[in-house]
Amino acid sequence: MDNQQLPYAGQPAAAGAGAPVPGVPGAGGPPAVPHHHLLQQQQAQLQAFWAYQRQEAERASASDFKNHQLPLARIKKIMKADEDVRMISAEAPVLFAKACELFILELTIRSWLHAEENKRRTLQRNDVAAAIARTDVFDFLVDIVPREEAKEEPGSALGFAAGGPAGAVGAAGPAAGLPYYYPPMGQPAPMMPAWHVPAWDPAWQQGAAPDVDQGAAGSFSEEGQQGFAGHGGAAASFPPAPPSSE
Amino acid sequence: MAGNKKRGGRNMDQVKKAAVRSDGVGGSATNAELPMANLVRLIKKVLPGKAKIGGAAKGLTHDCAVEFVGFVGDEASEKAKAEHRRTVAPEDYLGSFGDLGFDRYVDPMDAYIHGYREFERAGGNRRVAPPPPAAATPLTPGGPTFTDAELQFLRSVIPSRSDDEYSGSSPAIGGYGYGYGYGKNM
Repeated sequence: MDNQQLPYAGQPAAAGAGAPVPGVPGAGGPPAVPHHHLLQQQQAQLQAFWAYQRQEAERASASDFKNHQLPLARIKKIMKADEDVRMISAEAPVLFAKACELFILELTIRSWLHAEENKRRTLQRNDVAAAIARTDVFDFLVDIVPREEAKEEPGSALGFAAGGPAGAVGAAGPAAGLPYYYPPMGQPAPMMPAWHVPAWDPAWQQGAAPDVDQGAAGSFSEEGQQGFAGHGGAAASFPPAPPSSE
Repeated sequence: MAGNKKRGGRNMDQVKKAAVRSDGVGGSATNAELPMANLVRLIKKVLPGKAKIGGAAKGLTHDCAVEFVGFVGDEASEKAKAEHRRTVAPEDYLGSFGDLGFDRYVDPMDAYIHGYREFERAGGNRRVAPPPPAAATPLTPGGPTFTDAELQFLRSVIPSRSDDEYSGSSPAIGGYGYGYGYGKNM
């Protein structure tokens, strides 16, 4: 028995294919085999993952400068859209095309985390808004979200009370496929009671960065409710699927 | 302090942009915008294969990206002006990333611009001509194009979260389970 156990102990370290054979007569054979296979599968997955990333990184260094994800002419146009912007060096749009790419990726990742927290498979507008509210470095974007809602509700004052119906209207907008073709002349009749949550308004109206923990907790609660409001356009408490379309 | 001042300035610019956009909704001649197809392609890179993207989310992400370029661009322009330079250099933008809180962007962007300069000195930029077939570049549509610095950056952004593909693996790997190169859904 001792002689048989010693070779079995050596086999897993070597990760040989003959491991199951000595495991059959051994008393600890059956429970060790699945664990061994699981480790092998995980190692194979990790190796494949890092090999792919390494390959992509090497390839990116060569071809990434030729094929940008965002066209340089558009980046340059945006950079010069503001008055008082001086002459830009030729390398600046190249740098910004990459920086803008990283920004979009970071914003998307943070937005998707919010969608996952709400058990959704569709990235929605309020997910992006939540990512902006939760991230201090995105404070400069806070004004963009209310203005978008203002466009949907022309003439209405900015506030979370108007955000609910605006969210409902926004939910119908994506069906058309173009976010800029919201019907501004839609009937402003309220389809649900106003969502007056005092804890939410200061987070949106104040320009200063809120406390990270408190802001995150508040944002999560409020976004959860806003998500429900957005879904329940027809006053449904919890619809089965969001109306957004890609 | 400076951040608040910048935000005030951005509000005025944003009001102007909003007015222009509301007047010419369909017209792209007067608007500085990004192509939505390129934007959606980027967004899908970091989302799982089964994820869908709502139209309103695409529009808001687009507006945020345009605002980001203008926000950092204004800061860099002021840097160049303070030093009495007529041209805004990449170093101005690198400094602006740090000043505006985008600290994690500085190292990847610094490495990127250095690589680009070496690329220019080596053979120049051939954006006009398509890459030659001899390059033997494998065709992987939608594959990620991240350098190591960018992976470090993205890893720091993604919290530790388990994913179905990497159940039981380390959190760092789980965080990358958002379809990096494994879900070629383009």
